[in-house]
Amino acid sequence: MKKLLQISLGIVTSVGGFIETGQIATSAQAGAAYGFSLLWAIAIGTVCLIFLIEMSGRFAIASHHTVADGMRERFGSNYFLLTLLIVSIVNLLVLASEIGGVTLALQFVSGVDYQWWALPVAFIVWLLLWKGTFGMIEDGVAILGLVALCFVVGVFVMDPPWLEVAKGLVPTLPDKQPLHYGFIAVSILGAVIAPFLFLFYSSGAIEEKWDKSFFGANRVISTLGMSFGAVIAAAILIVAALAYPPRGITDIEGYDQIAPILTPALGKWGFYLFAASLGITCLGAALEASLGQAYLVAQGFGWNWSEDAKPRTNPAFSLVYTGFIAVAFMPIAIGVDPLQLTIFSMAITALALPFGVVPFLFLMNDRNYVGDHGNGWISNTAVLVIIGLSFIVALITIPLQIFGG
Amino acid sequence: MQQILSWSASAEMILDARIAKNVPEGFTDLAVEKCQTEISDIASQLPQTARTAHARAAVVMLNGLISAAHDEIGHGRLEQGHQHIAELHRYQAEQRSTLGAGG
Repeated sequence: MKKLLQISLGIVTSVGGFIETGQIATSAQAGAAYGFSLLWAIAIGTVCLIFLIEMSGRFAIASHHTVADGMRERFGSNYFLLTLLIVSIVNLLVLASEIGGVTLALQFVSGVDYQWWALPVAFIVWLLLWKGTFGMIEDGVAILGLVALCFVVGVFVMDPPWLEVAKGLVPTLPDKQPLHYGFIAVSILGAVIAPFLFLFYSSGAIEEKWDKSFFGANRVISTLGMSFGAVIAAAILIVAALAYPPRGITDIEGYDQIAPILTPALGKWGFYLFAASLGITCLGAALEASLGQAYLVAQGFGWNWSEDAKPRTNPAFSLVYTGFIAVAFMPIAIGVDPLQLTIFSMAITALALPFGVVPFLFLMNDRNYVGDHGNGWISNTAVLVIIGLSFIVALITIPLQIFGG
Repeated sequence: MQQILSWSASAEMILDARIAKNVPEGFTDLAVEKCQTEISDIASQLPQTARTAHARAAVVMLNGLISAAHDEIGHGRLEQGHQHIAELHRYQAEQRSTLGAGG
């Protein structure tokens, strides 16, 4: 019974990392510009993420190491420092975007400009990390994050043409603006396969002391949890495809355009549910990105780390997320547009993807770490495909950002 | 012009939602202002040529209609606001068909 509860919470928790400002923005942009035709990007990204998340959990259970630990030990300090630098830049941009998402949600309900909320939001994120425990942060934000199911309700209220929706799951070439289409597809992949998710997941497995009895639970949580998140992301895209093009809105360039997305389906409740979904999911992602960064640095340098421990027992770990939050809120406070920052961060995430993904191929086949729980041919094929995809995405990101972004 | 019309249609959607009391006044004020700023910014990037003169004139008209509708709704004159929105909608449709005809 206890394990069932942990699995359920794990599935729900996955929504917290999956649905965030990048996912909401890119899904809404895709739906407005290309109808249902980019659903395949969410589906492919989710399958890749399921494999990576399952592997990072399996690695943690089998080796009692986090992925960051494994990367440093297996590939040496130089490779780890390079990865640390790249992932830190990505995490910083993601955290700034998530803080921007929370501030926008507050702007929508209060009418006070988002910039004014940057410092209070950053302080709340820091305070929750300073005072909270891993379980409280994970489970609390995840359960509140269920409000994002309002997008799924919105889909059923708007009753889409289901056959057309199903066709969107098959990759097709667009009939207009192929570069822009490619850019949004890459941004969706960047939003779905964020390195902080699988680095964070393996740290969470260690924090929650997953033992060998958790191999099955890990598989269920990674598969159902990520699929659950993907359903919500797809729902956002479908609602956008139904709400915007009939009104002549095909370019989404600001969150003010996204805010009324649910009003055609749910009226006044739609507006407040959207704001709540944006605020809560972005808060959850901000906590995960901050913690993920602190885990990465602390594990890499061999410091004490645990969100469950008091800050005085692991001061360096606490200092990392404190400094990280202090830097990340600044772009929003000085008025950088949160959506532009989000789109940029998604593209940079896509660019950095190979650095986060390649180590899996080696770590998951190293018996010194995973013993008999290494990858089989299906998982290895999946990793090779994901690596190939990540290199293609990384190579085309910059040209697409310039010509199609 | 496509981007301008998207921002203009967004302003229309927000004002429509405000008339139905589906969005709060504070949000409407900031969001409509953002739409108008974006429309003006995009228009200011258009080169000053005879070919873009029509687009610049359309931007003035669109922003004027958005302001008028916003003003009426802000003062609680929903019927007049609704009329301005209907006019905005018609004007956008005209511009879209002009854009389509021009390729």
